[in-house]
Amino acid sequence: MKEQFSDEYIMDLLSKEATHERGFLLLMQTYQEPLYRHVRRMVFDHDDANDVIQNAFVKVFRNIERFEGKSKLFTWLYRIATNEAITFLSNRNRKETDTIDDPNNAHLANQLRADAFFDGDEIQLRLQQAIATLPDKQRAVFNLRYYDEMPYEEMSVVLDTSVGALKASYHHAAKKIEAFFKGIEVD
Amino acid sequence: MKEDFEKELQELSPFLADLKKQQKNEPFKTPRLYFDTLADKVIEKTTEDTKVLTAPPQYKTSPSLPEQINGWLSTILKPRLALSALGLVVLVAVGWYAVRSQKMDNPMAAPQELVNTSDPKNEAKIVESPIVQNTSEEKINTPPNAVNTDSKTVEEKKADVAVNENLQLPIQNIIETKKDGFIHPESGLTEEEIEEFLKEALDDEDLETIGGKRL
Repeated sequence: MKEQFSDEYIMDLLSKEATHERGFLLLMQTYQEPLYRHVRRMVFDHDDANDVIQNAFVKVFRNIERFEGKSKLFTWLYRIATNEAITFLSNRNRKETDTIDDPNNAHLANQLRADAFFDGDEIQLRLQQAIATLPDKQRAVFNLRYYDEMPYEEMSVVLDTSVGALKASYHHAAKKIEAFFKGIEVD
Repeated sequence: MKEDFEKELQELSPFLADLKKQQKNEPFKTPRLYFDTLADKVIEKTTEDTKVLTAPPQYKTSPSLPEQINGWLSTILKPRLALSALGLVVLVAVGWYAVRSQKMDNPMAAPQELVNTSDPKNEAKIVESPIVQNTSEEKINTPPNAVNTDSKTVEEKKADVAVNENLQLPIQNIIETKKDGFIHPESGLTEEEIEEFLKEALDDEDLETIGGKRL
């Protein structure tokens, strides 16, 4: 069982030069798994998720003094990781053009079937295909609410979007995914 | 809070609410000990980046002669450049050979536009064409201060004829006399006298025009 440390204790260690590295290791130990899972659900592939999460933590390491404590440390970390994942997806979408001819993400299903680090059944596979049809930011909204069960107020900080807009986006995403399973098109 | 979330999803999409209840396990896995090593990798990455940022700038020095030669050779030996150069050389060689062989085959060839026509008038032009070509070279060599007789008026031409008649040299008469094989009635000279006179006249001519320049 891993020991849990409070945000105050971690920030105290990070604020001192002598204990900065230890504080950072504790931060990673506490938050790396939920952050990795969030990024992985965004990009699907382990290697891509590994690149994104490493870059995100490097940014955290360099900019930790900018964290003012106005929000939870966890929320601030999610914000950095989500932005890093969306940037990664934007760059990947720009390079790949085959997704235009593959609206149902058949290539993703094949990719996940062949992925040694994907252990889901056919329904899980289909759910990931449906999530992949969502625009990048809407995908983040759906994942944060559906999987991480994050309150809208925190999501608002992470995604820098109003609570009302987030609720609408989540509702619309849920309808799209249901329609994908039933084979109906939703605008 | 959790109840609020479940209620919202149930109202929004009963299908997804049921799906979430059924699918409890996490489908995405990681390599073994991945999270045990991730922190070290990130720390290593930040250290590497710091090294790169603090590394002293490497000033570029001018390359030595062997390096320059090596660079030059590697540039010209690039397959694309070498093939392009070879193609260019072959094209120039073929072009030069074609032009040369055309000239060798028919140096006196008439212009192609005359040969291709069936007009009988062109036959004369075809015969004259090499002559015209040669005479055109003469025209180019003519000094710019040469008198153009065509531009003279009829009266000027008549005056020229009169002057030529008056200045007609005895030597010309002598040459004509020798050619005909009899004594010229106006000069009254014998054949030996004519030869002697001719020799003297030629000597005088040489003395007057030494070095191609009139003294």
